[in-house]
Amino acid sequence: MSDATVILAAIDAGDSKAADALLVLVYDELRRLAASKLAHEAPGQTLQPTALVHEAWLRLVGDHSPSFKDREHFFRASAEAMRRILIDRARRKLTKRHGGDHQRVDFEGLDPAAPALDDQLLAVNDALDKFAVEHPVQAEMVKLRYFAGLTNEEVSEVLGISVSTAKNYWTFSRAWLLNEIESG
Amino acid sequence: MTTNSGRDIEIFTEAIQIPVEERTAFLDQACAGDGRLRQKIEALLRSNERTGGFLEQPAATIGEMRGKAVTGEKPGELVDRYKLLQQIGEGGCGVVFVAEQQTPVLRRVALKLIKPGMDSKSVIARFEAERQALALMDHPNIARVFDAGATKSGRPYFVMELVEGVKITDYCDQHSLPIGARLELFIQVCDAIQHAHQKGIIHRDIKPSNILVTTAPDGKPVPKVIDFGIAKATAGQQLTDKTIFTAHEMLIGTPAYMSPEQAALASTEVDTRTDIYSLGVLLYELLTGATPFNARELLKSGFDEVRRVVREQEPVRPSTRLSTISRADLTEVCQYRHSEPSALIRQFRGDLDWIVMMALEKDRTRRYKTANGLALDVQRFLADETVLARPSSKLYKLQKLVLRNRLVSTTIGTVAVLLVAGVILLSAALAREREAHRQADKDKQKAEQVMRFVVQMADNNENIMSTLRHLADIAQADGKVAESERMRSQALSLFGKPDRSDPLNPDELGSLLALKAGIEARHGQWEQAAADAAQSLDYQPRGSFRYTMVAALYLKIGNRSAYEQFCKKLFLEFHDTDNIFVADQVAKACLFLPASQVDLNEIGRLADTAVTLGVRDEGAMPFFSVCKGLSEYRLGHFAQAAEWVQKAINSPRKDAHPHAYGILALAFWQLGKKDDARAMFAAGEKLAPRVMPASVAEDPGTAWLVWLFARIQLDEAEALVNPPSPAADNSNSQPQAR
Repeated sequence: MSDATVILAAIDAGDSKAADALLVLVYDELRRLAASKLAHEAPGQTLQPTALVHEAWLRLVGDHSPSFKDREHFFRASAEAMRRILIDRARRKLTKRHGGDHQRVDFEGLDPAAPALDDQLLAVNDALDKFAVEHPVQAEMVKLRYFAGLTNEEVSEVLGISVSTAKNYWTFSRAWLLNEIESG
Repeated sequence: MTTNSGRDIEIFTEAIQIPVEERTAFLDQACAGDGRLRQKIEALLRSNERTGGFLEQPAATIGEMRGKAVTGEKPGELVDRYKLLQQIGEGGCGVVFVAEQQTPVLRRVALKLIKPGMDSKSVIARFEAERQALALMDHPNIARVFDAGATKSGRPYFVMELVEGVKITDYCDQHSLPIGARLELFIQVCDAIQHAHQKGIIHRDIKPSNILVTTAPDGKPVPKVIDFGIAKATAGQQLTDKTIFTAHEMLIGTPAYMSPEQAALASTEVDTRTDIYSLGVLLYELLTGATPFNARELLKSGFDEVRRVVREQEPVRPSTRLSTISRADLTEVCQYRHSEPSALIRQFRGDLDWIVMMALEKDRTRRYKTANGLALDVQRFLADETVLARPSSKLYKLQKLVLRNRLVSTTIGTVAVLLVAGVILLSAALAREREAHRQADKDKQKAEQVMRFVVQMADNNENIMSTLRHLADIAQADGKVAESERMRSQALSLFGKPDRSDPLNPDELGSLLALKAGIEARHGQWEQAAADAAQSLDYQPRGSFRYTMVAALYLKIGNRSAYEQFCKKLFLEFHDTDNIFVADQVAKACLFLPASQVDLNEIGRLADTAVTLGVRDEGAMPFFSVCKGLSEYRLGHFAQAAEWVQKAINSPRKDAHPHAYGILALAFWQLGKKDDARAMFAAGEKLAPRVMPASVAEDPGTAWLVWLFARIQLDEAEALVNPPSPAADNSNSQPQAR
């Protein structure tokens, strides 16, 4: 059994620390995968977050028909991990541009400098924290879609809501976040 | 905060679904008295207008798109003789730009950049191999493919006619197109594919995002199939490269539209019938809003499992799919189709189910041979004609004939229509009594079969039938009811003729006879009705729902010995049945009269079976309660009898009431509650007066049976509460039983 399988079992058993452990594991795997893709593929290689997440899933958990609950944990953890990876990178790049830091940046290759988009990423992230206070489920949905690249169908399954509800939530969330960013 | 948060999503969601001009009024009402909530919703609605592509691209993809821009393919750049203008789409296989072609003509085209990682040379070579054939295609529903090449950075690209439209499934939903309009669009798509097939081109990647709908100058929607030739040029690798990564890209892409032979990864086996399969999936999605296999389910189980499912698992029929999805999703599906759940399911059941399933056959030799064949069948469905997909059955063709002719109402006379209506109502009503909801559909189908036969006969014996029908109509118009009935019977009798080229099967004959019995009974021809009803059981010995009918008709004509024999036979055969409907019918039939030839305790057990095992069958339970009440009454348990039939009277099943009142009157009388007994008797008389009311005689359904059953027990009660003897007005001193 892989680490991930053990951790997922622990989450199922109600171990609260296990969720953090899973996040760390997924986070490392996603970083590693993305870096290796960028190092070995042709220039301009598309890097689909969904594909990354699914590949991480295969590598960490494997294909031996894990329970649906496990997939749910895994997707949530992946969304959070992707969010941290992207935010982290955006922050470091901003700092770097301001002349503060010269450390090596893992994800440089993924993303040539584009300050406007980094700003947007960070703005969305900040707004998302506020959003989560009022609308935790909807904020989780934004994470799954925006950071892990899941579709409405996948999101509805992870969150246990209908597809139509997922679509409604998505429309609402986008309006809410845009309103927050523009008025904030 | 929490309650408020839920509320704002609710109000917002509802507000964006109603027209802008109605929103103010809606918000006035929805946010009544809560100024802050209202301000917030209004701000959200304003933001909603401006969201555009906000957040639609996953965050990491944004970075990756910037990556591509640096390598040279971005708006403003030249790719050979094409100048990229703006990006208009992105899919699993690449990015699409609007581009301006500079030479030899100046025009706007769509340029699709295939994602890197593919061998450009072989992609282009495969495209070149098909280029001539592609050039031959000329069809209003096909977007032309002009050119292919490779960018400086080595990415293959394709140049196509620019189609500014939305993908077909989105178009249908955005315009809430009903099924008919969706099918019209689908037929056009089939035409396009047929054209391509005739030119030797297989699309190989038919899916909603490859079919864009534009609007013609006259406002009509025109679907255009894009990406011809591209799948073949790029497919080889996608299908044979079994690395995990590629496999999962496929999962994210189009596994839902992949045919069994594609799933088998046998790319040499792909032929035009592969496109037919994908058209079937498209039709499935246009109808139900979902693909036959759930992409999410497939994704969960790994690529090999996907392949296995696509190759081996039979998809559920569209109508079944609708009846199994969640309520919320069903509501949405219906809204998008301007329909109601039950209507939509009914519309799918039968032909559309069959058409879709034939296109989705695993064995491609059993699919439609051509796209045209598929389109024609859909057209037949729209015209109420016989579809090929349906297993060939004469009965089925007749059903179609009826539908068509009912609409035109020329070839089929009034009688046939009346018969049809009568049979449907009769069977459906009987079904209600018999097995409530579960059985209703089966009976409806049976009714339809009979109906088809009725019409086939009308068709084959055109001369005799139409003459009889017209004569019957004229007689009826003249008020000569008996003569009209005779003609109708005569017309009916044609069906039973042994020398017919296409003999009826016993079931159909049984149903027709029962139908005939009903008509006769409603016109007071009781002897004939009894004979026909009894004969119907010769053909359908298991037609249990007719046991009470036959028993009651024997009593009605005063043939007591026939009744008793019949009951004995029923009892012998069914005294230990555990079928609730049979038990109910047999018990009731045997209990109509007090002096039964059969063991009352045994019959009591049958009644017990009905109410015990039938307790979950809400629709039929009131009838079972009547049965149990009657049984308790016969056993001398008057209080229990009253209790049981009162359950029936308190139920909303009005057709269970008249019979129940008669039994209740009897029970109350025996309990000494004579005033109550008289009141119940009066109530029963009101529902089922001695002379069959016109409303019953004209009802082609089971009203006459309800009336007949009630009369049997009311007559029994009348002898108690209203004895024909001179002592009638001195009822208080009457002995309790006579």
